[in-house]
Amino acid sequence: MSLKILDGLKFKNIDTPLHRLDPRVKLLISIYFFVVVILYGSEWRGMLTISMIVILVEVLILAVGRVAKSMLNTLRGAAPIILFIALLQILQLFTYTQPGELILYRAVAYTVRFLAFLASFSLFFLTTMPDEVGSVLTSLRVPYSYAFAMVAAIRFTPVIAGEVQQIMDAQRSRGLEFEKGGLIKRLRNLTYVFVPLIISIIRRSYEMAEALEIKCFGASKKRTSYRALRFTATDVSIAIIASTLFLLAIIVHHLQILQGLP
Amino acid sequence: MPLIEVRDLSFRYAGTEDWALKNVNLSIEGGEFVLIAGPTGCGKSTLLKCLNGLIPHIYTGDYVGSVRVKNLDPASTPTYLMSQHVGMVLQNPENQLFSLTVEGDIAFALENIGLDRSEMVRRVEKVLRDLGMEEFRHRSPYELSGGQKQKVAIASVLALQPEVLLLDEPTSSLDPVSAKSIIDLLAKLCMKDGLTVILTEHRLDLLLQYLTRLVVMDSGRIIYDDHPRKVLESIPMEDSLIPIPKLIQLVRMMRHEYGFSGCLPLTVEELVESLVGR
Amino acid sequence: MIEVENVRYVYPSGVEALRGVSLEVREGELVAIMGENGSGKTTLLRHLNGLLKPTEGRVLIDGQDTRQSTVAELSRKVGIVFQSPDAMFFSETVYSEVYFSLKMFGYTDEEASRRVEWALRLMDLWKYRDRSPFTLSGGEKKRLSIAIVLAWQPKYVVIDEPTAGQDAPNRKRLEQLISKLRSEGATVILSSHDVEFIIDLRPRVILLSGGRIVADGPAESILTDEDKLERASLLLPQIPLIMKKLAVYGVNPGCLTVDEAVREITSRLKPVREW
Repeated sequence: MSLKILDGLKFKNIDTPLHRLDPRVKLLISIYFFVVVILYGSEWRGMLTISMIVILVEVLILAVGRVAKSMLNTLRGAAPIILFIALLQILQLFTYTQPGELILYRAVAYTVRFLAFLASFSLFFLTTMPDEVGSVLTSLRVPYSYAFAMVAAIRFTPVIAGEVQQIMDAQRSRGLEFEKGGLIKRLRNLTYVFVPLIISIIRRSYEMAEALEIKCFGASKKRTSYRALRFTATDVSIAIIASTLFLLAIIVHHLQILQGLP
Repeated sequence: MPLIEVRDLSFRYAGTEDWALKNVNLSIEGGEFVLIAGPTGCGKSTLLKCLNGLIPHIYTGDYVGSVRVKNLDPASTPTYLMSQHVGMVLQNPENQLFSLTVEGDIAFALENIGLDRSEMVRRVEKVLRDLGMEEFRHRSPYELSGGQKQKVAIASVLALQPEVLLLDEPTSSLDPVSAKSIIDLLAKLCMKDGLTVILTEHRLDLLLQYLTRLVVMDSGRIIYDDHPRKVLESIPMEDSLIPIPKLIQLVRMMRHEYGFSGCLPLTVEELVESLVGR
Repeated sequence: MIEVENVRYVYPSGVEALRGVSLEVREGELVAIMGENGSGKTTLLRHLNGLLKPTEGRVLIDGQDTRQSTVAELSRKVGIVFQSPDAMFFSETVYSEVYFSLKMFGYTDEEASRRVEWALRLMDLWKYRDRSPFTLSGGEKKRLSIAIVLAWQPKYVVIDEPTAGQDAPNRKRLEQLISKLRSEGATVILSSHDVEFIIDLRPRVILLSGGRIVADGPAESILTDEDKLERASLLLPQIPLIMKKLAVYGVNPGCLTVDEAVREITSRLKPVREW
């Protein structure tokens, strides 16, 4: 099960200036990109232009972090979803009375915009250590148990994936063939993976609960942090530059509205 | 006064008919290295969980008798307090490591109790040094070997600086070399730092030379409780409660069939000495 | 016969787990594949029933190339008992758990019932036949996972880490079971790092380290060779260790079992006569 689409959202442990940037600044930049893309969503030309600009800028930024390729993999892996979105738009051909050309352009614009969405958060996830993600969430006043659940999910996903593989191997060795049979049979075969998996997840959670208890989880309302997130001068300057550009983008958008461009 | 005192302890898990522990009495001094052995289901894990409060706080049931560790009663002391005196390492290291870095895992419990940062850093550094794991600090637990994972699990509990360390079958899934390094580590912590170590295991071979006490259980009762030499003297050879190390089998057979009169060796070196003298 | 011909295997992640492994297992043999965790043992086992197909080289089971067969077909001949029994239980009863695989392999209801009873009795689990497999103890689950595989009587029985986490009574049972299987003509392949358990079985020993075979021979020569064992991250078993230290006093260091060692020491060791 190779999910290429997840490639651009998995943390890569390299040391680059981008990685060293405070995760809160990176989250801010990602949000800026996201908002800008939505802002220009009123008509297709603006949507398309801004989406392509965002993707291009992201690629340049991620190149600094040497993770541009991963992000592009995600975009490629999103092909099925893109097709789906494009299809949805094209179906409008049969319901709306707008000119067919317009529908096509809008289909392209929507799909590229989706790619821009994916790209905007790639920056955050690709270059931020998963437990920093937890730190960011707590600094945003998200209750610790939720932040912990998120980090634990990231931490245990590969373990569970490995478990699924193990279960399938064990069942295959008993004569089960997952690749054969009609739809009903295949679904039935999946229960032979599902049941042991659920049992194992439940057992795992009991053990984890024990371990958490042993490690004093929930002991103190005032939980301290080993890893301190601290802003450096670089972080602050980048944040200021990004915020300025963001404001400019908003202003430009408003000015265009005032000038009544199509 | 013994560090750990268990008096007439009986316990039955909620919803079961059989008593997991039946009238257990045990007394352990500080600095001891204790092995609790016995067949599956004999109650050894249950006994461990009574020492740190998991029973009765997490596992409910019928609890009779008393347990005292230092001056604390695990039954009435909150687990987060008990954990700072009695640490526990469970069998499967995978499910005990929550952070995405080794140092994150070591700091995890300290963050939970709200320790201030400077003290946390100090303790994390100390544990990394004591266990020789400084180069692993930024590694992810997922990519570590079984033996390394187990070391991290031990480190993360030692960060709380408990006086007693409980381990439930810590070397069960490890290969011999990794198992030996974990056991040697525990022995070092016991002898050098005075840590009281109590573990359950199926195999005695690697532990024999370090144990100050061997406790053998069966069906919830303690059958033998003494220095390993004495226990291995009296336990019948055909008894299958614990696997008798080949070393011991050898000497007992030589005694039985050839009148050999040496005392039971706990290491190969001891055996060689008693056979060829000095 | 199982033939592994210069197999190289690289996982999708890029890890090269097997670097040119060649070996042959003849019918009726008892083979122990030993090495540390990460040496390639489990990867090698998974090639025997086609779960993994070699990146280079090939694996032949009675002349059949594993790349041209399905896992189900190969499992009929090569039954693998995996290390964690929990990874496969899903039935309501112990009985149906064993019955399931037999139906998968195409046995009639009658034949399947007969085999279920035989396998469960063999593993001393018949009394638990109506219980849920999830309520069994660790050792009982292990026995059930073995019963499941033995039920269809594969020609080659492969067991991954038979003694991991098993208590003394179960270790004895496993030893007896393996002897019984051999006496009935089955070929048994064990993957283990439990030197003390393996030495009592006197199998052919293959040492694996870093994806390569570093030794292949009878237990007598491999399990007494400290250097070879060290390369596979294994410790010398107690009896050979004792005999090695006494060798300078005139004893034969080639003993494997307690009985042999006692006889050798009491007859050869000069100081002993002075008791």
